[in-house]
Amino acid sequence: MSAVIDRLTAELTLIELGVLRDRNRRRAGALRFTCRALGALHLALAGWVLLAGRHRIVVVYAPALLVVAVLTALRHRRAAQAAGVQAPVTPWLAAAGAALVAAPALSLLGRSQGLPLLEEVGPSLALALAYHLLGWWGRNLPLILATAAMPVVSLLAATVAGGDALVAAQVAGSGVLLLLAGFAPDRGER
Amino acid sequence: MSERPAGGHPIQRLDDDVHQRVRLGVLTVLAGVARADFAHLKATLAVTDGNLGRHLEALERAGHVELTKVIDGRRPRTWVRITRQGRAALRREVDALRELIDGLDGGAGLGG
Repeated sequence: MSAVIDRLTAELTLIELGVLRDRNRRRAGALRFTCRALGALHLALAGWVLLAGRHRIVVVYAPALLVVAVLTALRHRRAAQAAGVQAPVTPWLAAAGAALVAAPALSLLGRSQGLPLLEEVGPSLALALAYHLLGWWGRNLPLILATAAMPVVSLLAATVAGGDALVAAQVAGSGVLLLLAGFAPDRGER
Repeated sequence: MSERPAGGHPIQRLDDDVHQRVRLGVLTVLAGVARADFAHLKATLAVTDGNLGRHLEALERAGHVELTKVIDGRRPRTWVRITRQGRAALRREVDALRELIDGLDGGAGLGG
């Protein structure tokens, strides 16, 4: 009989912890401000790509992400004063860092292998995947939907443009989608 | 933190400092955020001030959480943050609970 009780207690405890974790993670997955900042950054980057070329995107993107990270941390700290809970910055920093490594790697791979589509669309897909996983982590539906639409936008852009124009269109498209995610209402966020 | 012997029944690996509904709840909430204050934990876990305070003290003594008391405006506020040790303890506890369930699924039988 004690084994049954042990098992029931263990199962109930795990269920209770799972519910608590999910409810809390929606709060922790507060990314509205970050999405807005990233969206604005991407729109600005699209202009930079047209001016300086797609191979110089990382030079601006990396420090700009750092600025967004600092602003997000400050924002979370301020929001914590009212909400009583401070969302972590590390999950989205990890996603941004992974995208920052994977995107140029895919671009270089595409260039070295003579695969222009991989070179031009790969970085955008890497970014979409990284932020999509972040959306799942934070139970952030607007971000999940926005990042799911990113590959579609990238592939559509690839059918009508190429080179710098294609990359600029993809970056701008991602920016618009991130802004939409940032302005979408999310019940879990204060 | 108390050391648990490896092997044997999974119940032997449950940590007395952690294996309590409110304490597990506190660690679970804190594991997903940078920090939370006393009022947030109290509201989330639906417990009384005294009850939560006692459990937080026990978790702090065991090194699983860090408490920071500040004066916010005119009122005192307690911020709680999970430590690395606390994360590890929570992971071990959840693993032991899963093992307990898996062990019974694996044919240990019911009614034992």
